[in-house]
Amino acid sequence: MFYDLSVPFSADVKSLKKVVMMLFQLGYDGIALNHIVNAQFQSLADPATHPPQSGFVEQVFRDPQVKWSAAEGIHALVLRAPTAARTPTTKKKAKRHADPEAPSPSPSPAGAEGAAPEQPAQEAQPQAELPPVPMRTYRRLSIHLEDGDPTSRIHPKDAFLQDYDLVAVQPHSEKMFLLACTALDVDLISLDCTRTLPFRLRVPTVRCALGRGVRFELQYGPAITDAGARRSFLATAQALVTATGGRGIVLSSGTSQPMALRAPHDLANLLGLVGLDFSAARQCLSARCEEAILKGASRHTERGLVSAVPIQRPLPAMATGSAPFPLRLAWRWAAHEAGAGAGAKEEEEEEGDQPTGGAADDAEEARMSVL
Amino acid sequence: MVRMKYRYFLVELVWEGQHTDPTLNFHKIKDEIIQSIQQNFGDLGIGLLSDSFKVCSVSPATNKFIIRCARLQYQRCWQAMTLIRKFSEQPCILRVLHVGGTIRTCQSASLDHDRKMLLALKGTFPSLRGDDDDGGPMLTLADS
Repeated sequence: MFYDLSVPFSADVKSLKKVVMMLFQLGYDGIALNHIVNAQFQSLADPATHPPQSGFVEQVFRDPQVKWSAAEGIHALVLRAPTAARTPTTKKKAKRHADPEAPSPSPSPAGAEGAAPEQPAQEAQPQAELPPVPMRTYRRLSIHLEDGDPTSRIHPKDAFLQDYDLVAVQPHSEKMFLLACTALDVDLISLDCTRTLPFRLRVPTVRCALGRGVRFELQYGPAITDAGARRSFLATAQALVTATGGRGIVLSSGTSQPMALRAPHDLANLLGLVGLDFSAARQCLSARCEEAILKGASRHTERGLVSAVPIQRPLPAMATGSAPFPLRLAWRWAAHEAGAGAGAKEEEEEEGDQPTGGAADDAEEARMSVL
Repeated sequence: MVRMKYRYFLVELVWEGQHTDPTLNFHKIKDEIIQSIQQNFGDLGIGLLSDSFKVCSVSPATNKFIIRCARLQYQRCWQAMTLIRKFSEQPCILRVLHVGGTIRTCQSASLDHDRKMLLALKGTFPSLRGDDDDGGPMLTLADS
């Protein structure tokens, strides 16, 4: 499972959809929509809303003209022509369409046509049985910290932060970096890869952050598009690999241009330039991201305690070719549960409760009980 | 003489929108990748890679091709391909689908990939049995 933890959030659904579709096509299974703010939690992107509305994910994914298929271990995306172009032109075709047994296209213009073969034709309510959202979607906040900024609001009980699954911090000075590594309750420390780092990555500071479960993030998007940023990216990445020993690094795109994205295995090889071997680099896009997400989930708990339950049997939908880990965490999506609230956010269980909801999806059967 | 060891890459071209290039051929691919090696790794990269670099087969229909390079330098060659942004002046992503020691593994990976893609698309459209009774074109990833 590959994740891209930094897809810049844009209120423009169309441009965001292009990025998400490209990520899906390249083989990513999860994304985090990134909302960028300053220390006063004012948005630095334009335009932006806080937080991303719960129906936003549906808008991005549930376009009846786009079919997402993650079957057979590869991701396929097909765009259908608009309904007007698909009206039957011959009598024979019209007759076939009039046949009640055959799956027929819905009369409504936005009809979703037989999204999956096993689902029955839904003439009356074409929108009733939409396929599940094909990618895991998380909400992320990135807080840019300049020197001297107040950081008192960055704590787990802050109401603003509660809306987000992941909280990241991008320090712009040495003091802020030290604070982020040692004191702040964040999930990711994002390093600016578009220019020379204004501070040194000191090994004791970095190791302190790793010991607390904080991950360091590199964004490769600008490095693909801009030659100057490419130099800075490699310099920062190399410094980070030296300081961390290759552990605790998360790689994400951080770009809103679809053609600046790259497939996960290609990126894993690219990190070979800075001294990471292929399997360690691949984990920067998979296992390390999952760890960051888990840390984010722990912020929503009472005391930050999380226990993970090993799964009982292998998960067929998650076959990606890698060996199954003895401990695998999967997320139940609120979108699967009947009448659930916000979009694709995972649910945590209150202590003592059994998992609710009838959506016993086989692929999502591992439970995370939260104390 | 000891056997020359190579790495074979199966590479897919991911275009922007609905763009396709039916004129894709060996020369274009070689020129583009060699240029990328020159830009990113300079004369050093050219010197190390140009001898063993070869485009083995090209499929304009499926946007896939197979290239060969020396085993010692395969990472460099792969990195150069990842950093390519344009192909024949069109924005493009080069995505490596398979790396193997023989050309045959890449060829079977290519067939496998096509088969899986067809199955995935077939699952998406239950009426896809040869006669598309919807009558409309089935597009690939397109600008909406």
